[in-house]
Amino acid sequence: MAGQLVQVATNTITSAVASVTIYDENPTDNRYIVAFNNILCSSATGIRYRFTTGSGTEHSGSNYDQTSRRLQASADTDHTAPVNQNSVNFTGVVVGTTVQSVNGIIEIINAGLSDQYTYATHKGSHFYNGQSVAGYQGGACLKATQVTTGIKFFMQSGNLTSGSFTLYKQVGS
Amino acid sequence: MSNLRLISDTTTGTGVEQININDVFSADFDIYQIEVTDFVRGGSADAWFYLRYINSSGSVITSSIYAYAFWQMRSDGTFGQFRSTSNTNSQYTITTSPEAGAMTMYIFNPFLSSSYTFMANEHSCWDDAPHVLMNGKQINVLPQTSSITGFQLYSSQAGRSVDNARIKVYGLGVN
Repeated sequence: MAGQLVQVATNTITSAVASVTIYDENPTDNRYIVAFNNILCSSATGIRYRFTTGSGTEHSGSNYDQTSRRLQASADTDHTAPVNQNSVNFTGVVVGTTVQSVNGIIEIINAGLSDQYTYATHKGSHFYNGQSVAGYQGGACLKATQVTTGIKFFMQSGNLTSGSFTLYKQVGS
Repeated sequence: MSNLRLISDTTTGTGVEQININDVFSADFDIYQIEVTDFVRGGSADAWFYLRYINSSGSVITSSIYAYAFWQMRSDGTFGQFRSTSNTNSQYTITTSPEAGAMTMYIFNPFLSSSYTFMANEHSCWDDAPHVLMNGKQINVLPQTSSITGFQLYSSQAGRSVDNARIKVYGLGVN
């Protein structure tokens, strides 16, 4: 993270919500970092993300590809490579109860380039289905051109019940 | 002002087998980025350094409660995993080499008494025998809710060490 990392948006969940969207109101940069921690949820499903454009309008077309290595302490590692999805599942099944929170970092690249795809790398650390620590490490691509201004998080089903999402942009590098 | 706030910047001496970074986690931040660079081996043999956490009493946590998973990718085409749900440390965090390996590690919620402490790291270094590039991805959890204030990197093999490694700890500030 050379240069300065400047916060552009943050959202701390104080009551159950279906989704969280954070975006840059003045999108002038190409590289963003999303940091999230202590995320809890209401049901045992996956947390997904979509990129946004403009004032937080999500791209929900089936244009997301992903490849990730899934690490898990209690089971053998494997990989996942879903294509043409309408969002990116970057956690697998989480429980997110009390102390078993979801945490991670997503880097968004090419965000401000209107004639290029938007890419992201993600790394997470959480409990997999209540068993032990697990996390996806990999990346995703939105195979559509847009100025990406931010990101929307939501559960496959159920709600996000607590935790914080913060969007930073890298400037001066 | 950058939201990436430097908390500590430590350079070890030579022949160091154990690095304790104390009093860097606090209520000021929930997410920490740790950069480890110049991880040059001391002596003539490489050594894996493992991670353990330090609690608010200054004690290194050595009980068999660490859970981790590590995915290793070597340039000789060997890929493999190492994992445990009940270990006395988080193994395979970074290894020394003549070429100075490096690592970026994120630690989540160490000081929060409402959450376990989670970690995700990526490192790039060189293996000893055979001498090949080795990249690793690792996660771990310390399933305790007590406040963690620091961490330790220590050599897994007595007599093997690191020279002049640099460890920077940053907090990700939220306004």
